Amino acid sequence: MTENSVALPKAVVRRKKWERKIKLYKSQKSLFAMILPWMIMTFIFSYLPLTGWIMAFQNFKPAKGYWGSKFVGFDQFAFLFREAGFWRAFRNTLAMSTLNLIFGFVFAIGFALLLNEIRNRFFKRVVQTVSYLPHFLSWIIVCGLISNILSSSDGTLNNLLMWLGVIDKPILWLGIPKYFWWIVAFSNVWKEMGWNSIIYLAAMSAIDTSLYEACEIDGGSRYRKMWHITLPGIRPTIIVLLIMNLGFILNAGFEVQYLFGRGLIMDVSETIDIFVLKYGITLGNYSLATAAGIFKSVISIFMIVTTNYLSGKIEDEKLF
Amino acid sequence: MKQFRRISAFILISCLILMVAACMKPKNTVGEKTPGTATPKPQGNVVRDEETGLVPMADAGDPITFKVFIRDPSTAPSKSNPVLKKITELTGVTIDFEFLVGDLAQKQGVMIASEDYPDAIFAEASPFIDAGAFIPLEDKLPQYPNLYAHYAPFADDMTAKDGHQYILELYSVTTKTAPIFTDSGPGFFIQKAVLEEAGYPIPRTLDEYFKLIEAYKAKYPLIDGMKTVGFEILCDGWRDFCLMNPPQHLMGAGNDGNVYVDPVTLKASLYQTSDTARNYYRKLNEEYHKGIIEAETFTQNYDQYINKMSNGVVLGFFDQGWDFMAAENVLRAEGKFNRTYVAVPITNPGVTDSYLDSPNGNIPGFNGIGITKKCKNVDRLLAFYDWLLQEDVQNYLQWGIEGKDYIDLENGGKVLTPERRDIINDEAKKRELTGHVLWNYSPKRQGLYENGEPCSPSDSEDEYLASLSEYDQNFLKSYNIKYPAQLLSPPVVRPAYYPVWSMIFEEGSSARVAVNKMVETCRKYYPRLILSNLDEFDGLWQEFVAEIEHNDVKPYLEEVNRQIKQRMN
Amino acid sequence: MAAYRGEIRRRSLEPIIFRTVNTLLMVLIMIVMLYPFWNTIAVSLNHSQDTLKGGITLFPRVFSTYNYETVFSNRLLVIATINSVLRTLLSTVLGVFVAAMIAYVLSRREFVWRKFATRYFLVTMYVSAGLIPNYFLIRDLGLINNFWVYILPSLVSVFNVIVVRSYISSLPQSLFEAAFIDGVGHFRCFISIVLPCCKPVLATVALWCAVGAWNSWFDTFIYASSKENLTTLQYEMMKMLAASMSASASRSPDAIYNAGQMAGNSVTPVSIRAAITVVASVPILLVYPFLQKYFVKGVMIGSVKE
Repeated sequence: MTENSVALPKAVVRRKKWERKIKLYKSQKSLFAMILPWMIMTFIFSYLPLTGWIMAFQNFKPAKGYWGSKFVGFDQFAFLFREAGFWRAFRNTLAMSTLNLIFGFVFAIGFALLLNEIRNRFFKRVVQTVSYLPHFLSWIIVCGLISNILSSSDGTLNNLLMWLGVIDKPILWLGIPKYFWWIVAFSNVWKEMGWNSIIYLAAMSAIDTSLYEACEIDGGSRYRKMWHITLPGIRPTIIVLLIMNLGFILNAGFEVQYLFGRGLIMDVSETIDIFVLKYGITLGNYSLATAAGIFKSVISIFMIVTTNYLSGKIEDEKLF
Repeated sequence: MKQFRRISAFILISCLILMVAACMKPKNTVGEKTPGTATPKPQGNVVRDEETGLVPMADAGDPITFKVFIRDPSTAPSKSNPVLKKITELTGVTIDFEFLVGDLAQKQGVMIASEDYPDAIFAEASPFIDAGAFIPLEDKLPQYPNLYAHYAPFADDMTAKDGHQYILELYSVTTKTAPIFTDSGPGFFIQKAVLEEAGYPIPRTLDEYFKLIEAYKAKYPLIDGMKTVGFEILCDGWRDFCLMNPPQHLMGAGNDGNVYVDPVTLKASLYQTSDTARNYYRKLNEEYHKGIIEAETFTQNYDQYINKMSNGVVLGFFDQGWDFMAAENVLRAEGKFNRTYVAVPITNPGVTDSYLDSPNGNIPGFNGIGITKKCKNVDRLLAFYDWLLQEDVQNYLQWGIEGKDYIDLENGGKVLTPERRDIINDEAKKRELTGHVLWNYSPKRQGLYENGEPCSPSDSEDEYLASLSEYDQNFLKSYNIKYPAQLLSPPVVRPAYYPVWSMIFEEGSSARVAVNKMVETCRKYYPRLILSNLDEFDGLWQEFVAEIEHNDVKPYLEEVNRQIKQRMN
Repeated sequence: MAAYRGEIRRRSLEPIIFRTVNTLLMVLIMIVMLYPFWNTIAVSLNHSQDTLKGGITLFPRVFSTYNYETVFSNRLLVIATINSVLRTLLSTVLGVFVAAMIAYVLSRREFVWRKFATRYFLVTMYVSAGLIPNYFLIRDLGLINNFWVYILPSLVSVFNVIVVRSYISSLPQSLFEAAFIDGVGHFRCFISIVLPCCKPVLATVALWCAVGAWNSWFDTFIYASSKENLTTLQYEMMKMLAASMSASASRSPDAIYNAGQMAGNSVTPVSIRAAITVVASVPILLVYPFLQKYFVKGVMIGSVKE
């Protein structure tokens, strides 16, 4: 004799469902209270201004505001997509972002793993503090230093390579297109490796030490511990950061490329942001900048949705 | 946990308190009138201020502060600046400058969109005029004799498209110009030592110029232990006019920016693809292969460029005088006067050079102060500017106090005292001890007064000659000239449309996009042309010209020609 | 247990090799990472005209404190520092608290809106309206020239939320179950369990918030530049840097006209940049050692008996 031997009328079923729902919501009211204020805040500060996206479909002039500026439909987008320069910038941005991502992750995690092995607490702290010092320098300073090191007249790198006999003439590193993306990647590593490793070290400190002890007893070597305990331990962190950063893939930056960009390497150094600066902001064309921003947002969302899905399938770990 | 809560509570409370304090009105130091000083209201008998000999304004006792936004990055002088305090004492007016930090386009966009204007603005005029931010001034100016007399000769230039005058121009508003002592604009510069070594010739062609450099470099491969560099080409960001501009000057034009305007037909054309340009870059290509030009010049940044120059190892370059002044200052400070530079008249054979601009009786008309509709007291501000334009006030601002800062000479000229020279040469002191900032960003007198006396120390021939080093004096004597600019042809009075680079194009228009693309193509190809192998040059040049023509530059040229016609009428 | 003697010897040699190599590597990394900052300090203590000649590496050539004197002669320095410290403290405390709270809610699998809310927040990381629409919003909220413009817009940082959420998710569920069985509500759970157990990640987020707040000047530039007593340290530094750059690169015709005058002993951009980097960095660098004690291993031990 089951409960459902008699079919209940639809209205009753609906009301029961409704009541159950209300009960569910009520039981979670503290959770709601804890998150609702911030959702409202996010709505105000992040969603409301999006009405400004209308600028991308106009010929926006600050003096005329939203209502006064001429509507031009997709013209701004058309300009972007027509320009060979834009697609070149798109390619450059993707390339540099990918390199930055790979190098960034590998070095930051590698550094964190090695640092984790240091026994002496004091030495560990000192190394860590020093390692993120470059993060606090502006790119102008860092690029200036790198320019000096890569200089073809008495620069450190050329001198070193010549002394080692690898080359016999100085190389104009910053003038040769094929080296540029690598220079950008290494500059980023130099500047951000220490800073990026902080979160991994934090995650590592949360790993249950009894796991290490167990592995030790089982005769595990240092590398086994790293591979089987530490890395899996920080796996969620890695994946989460990876997905989020993939969403930022079209933000390869601006400063490094702007500071190093010269005629000789223009074709590989120009990023979307620089393109938008040259043809948008500097010309007073805010609409173009907005259109490019929308384009970037669309790609970003696409990236995180895709990687999230893949991550769910492969690693069984999803961001959302 | 408890501790966490306690700490956060403490922080929250203390910042609430501090916030309240911070939000309270700032003490206005304007009302800092020192009671009892000599600022009586002049009634009939004119009472002059003891220290400066200036006549105070009628409403000096009524303090008011005007906020002025300036598009240049700079530091505002502190309130303790004695000259500014004196001015405030005599007029009651304090000017509160806000200088630009960061990007001008963004700041302007935001100001216009919000209509949050200060009392006056010195920035790009057209966005603000279009937005209706400025007050028309043509009806008010006649009420202020000095302002009116100052601007009357230029009334046409100051009139905007809609027939009103909005801008109080700050530059080149002068009917009597001072002589030009040194080339502070574009030129082919060469180190004085090179000329000295060769017996003080005057090179006039590229070949002569480079021969001198080659000879000197061969003789002195090292200077002070560092490698000598023959010719530098600065390519860093917006400074790459060093790379792009020379051909137009070789053709005998002034600095029109991106075009060459034929002096007879007044039609604009691109000089970047001309024969002159091809020959110029081919010459540079040859010099590169001779070792006079180093490949590094194309990748280094501005700091590295100045580094080399400051060490005295660079023999020649094309640049604008104000761009490498930092390096010259270092060289002068170290007494290496022979390593400083002078501009020489390099042109195509048979063409007269015209590197020096003479004011042409026209002013740009948009490089100045606009008074916004949010100004709290337009008449008072105009009266203030009017008061500032008096000759004795201008004297006080530019020269200082007689005896202490400058000395009158019998011939009517003036020279600065050594103490004043020290102050002026130190940026911080100049800002804090003189009225320079206020003078610079208000309607001002430049050049010469009607009686021929110099308005400012930089216009004064006596002052210039007095500040020359012994080496420079000898150098000039060897050429039998009074000042270095005389190596070049006398300043040329430009036609009314000049310069093209000051023309305003509609934002986002196809003209601007076209010229952008053209410039980008040049940026890309010139370095490659110069670095190419000797036999690749011609092929690469064809490629370059084809690319320029592919990116249709007609909209730009048409717009330029249209504006030339407009300005000439 | 070692099977034979050789194995013991091999086992005890390996850690020594590894540790030596690792330590040497760390020292090398330290040198490479330290050099830029050291060099900056050297440049900042070098006479500005002399710096123009290049070649400064580890030590000043012509010692001079003039760069620092210029920086400290800024009359707004005190109020700027106060504002910077204030906004950093507020942003950090509030930012960490808010991020943790949202992260906690999003980590509860039973939360009805879990998926929706996560996506709702995530999207905002990748969409932005741009400068002008944001300006309109800030203006309409009355936050122009208002101290709270430094705090409110950046209060919710989705990046931080996700990072903290990931950390919370890796905490053993038994921790929470134990609390709920005891009848503890969500908020109490958050305050008494989550916050103490997430110290490492919260310390990281605190560091990120602090550095972000301390370094920002663009918001001062756009939203609060006309009120002097709202200025921040970085903004004042930027002003000085921009001013020194204009002395050597003014594009206004005035420079051309007045260039006959010698530009004078201005503090050059290179030098002032070095000095302001040091002045602006040192305070925030002191924050990390303060937070380092939270990065302690094994903070979980003792919370729950397995």
